[in-house]
Amino acid sequence: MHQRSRRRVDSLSIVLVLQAVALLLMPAAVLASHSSHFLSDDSVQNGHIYYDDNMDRYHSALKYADRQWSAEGSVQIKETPKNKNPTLKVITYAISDNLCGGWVPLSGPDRIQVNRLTIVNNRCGSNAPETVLLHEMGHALRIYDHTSPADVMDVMYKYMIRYDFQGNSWQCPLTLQSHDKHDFHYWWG
Amino acid sequence: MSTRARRTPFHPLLVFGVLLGIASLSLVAVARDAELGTPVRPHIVITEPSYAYDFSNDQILVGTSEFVFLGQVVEQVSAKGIPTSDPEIEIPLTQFSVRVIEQIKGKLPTEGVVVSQSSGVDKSSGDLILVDGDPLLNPGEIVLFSVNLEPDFGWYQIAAGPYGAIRAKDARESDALVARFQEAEQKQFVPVVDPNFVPVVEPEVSDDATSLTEDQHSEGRDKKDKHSRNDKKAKQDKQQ
Repeated sequence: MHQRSRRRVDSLSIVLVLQAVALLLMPAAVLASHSSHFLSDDSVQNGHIYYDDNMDRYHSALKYADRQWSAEGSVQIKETPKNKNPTLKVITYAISDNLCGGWVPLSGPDRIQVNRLTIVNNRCGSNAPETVLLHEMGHALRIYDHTSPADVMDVMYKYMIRYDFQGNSWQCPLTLQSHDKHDFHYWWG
Repeated sequence: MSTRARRTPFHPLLVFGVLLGIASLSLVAVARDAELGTPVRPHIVITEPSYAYDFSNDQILVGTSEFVFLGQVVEQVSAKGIPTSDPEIEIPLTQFSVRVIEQIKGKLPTEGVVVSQSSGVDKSSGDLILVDGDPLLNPGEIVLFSVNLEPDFGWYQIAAGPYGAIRAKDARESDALVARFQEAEQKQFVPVVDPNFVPVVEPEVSDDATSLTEDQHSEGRDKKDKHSRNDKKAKQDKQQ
């Protein structure tokens, strides 16, 4: 009788220990699943992205991207005022590397670079350069690429034009989707 | 007894002396490195790119590249960047001479081929920029290249960052890569360009740009405005 109750206590303590371990690990797992959505850096300083616009011919596209993300609140994205230093420089270049653009977290001001050649050759979709700038501005806000096939219609999806080889294709949308917004608000509030 | 008890195993002065010694040695080492010109490891940053298509698909990669071949990296020949819309900024690229081993798509000369990788040291910050984490090529590496000719620069540009330069660890892997890409070449997928696409030349830029709706914004893209904001700024500066 005494032995039986002791065994019961032992098994109960094992269950309790396992539950405690699970509880301890759960936040880490949740954090890990969310951290995969975020980069380790961003171009935000004190709630602002101040950008230098060297966009040559894509000024209005940059304004469009800035407006879309700014509308989500929390982070103000605007051209660098005279009394401030830029946290981001936005430029264009042209080379046949089939990239539409990129965000580069440098030691100085970060950089968004947009490839005019890929855009003019219509390899970034009909809504480029707006879509490319929307995507890269998302990286400047720390949001990582979306890669799941379910995210094919997100701004933060890694590829600007997508094919399923069944005759269907998608292009990066002109407006932020719910997953894009969710990531933004998860990090920036 | 009481004197012994007060003694601590590490006298504060001794600890201070040891720390001072370590600091001095570190300073000497740093000074010596600077004197000898020991290269300081650059800060590595990763470009987060947006790709035109899903280049992890071989059929798309081959279909959108002019040349696909297996080659061996001989050596780095230059690190010429390309100009950008900001006169003070260059996109860093690094060029390597390559020996062509096997051609899969297109016809390249067997010698004197120079490929350019979209990674390199940024002149303004000193950072080593790696596109999507793609490390710089190393002499001796056997690589499956997907490239496009850049006649103005005299090199073949590696397409799609790491997707356009797949390293083979050994002969078996390089054989497998050649077989894989020969098959992809047979089934290559060339994306159809939207016939209604109008490339942006110089979209309308006005101070009211922020108040445009999405439809108005799209309409504005077709219009040309030769007075870009840069021009306006330049004029204002000139007047001042």
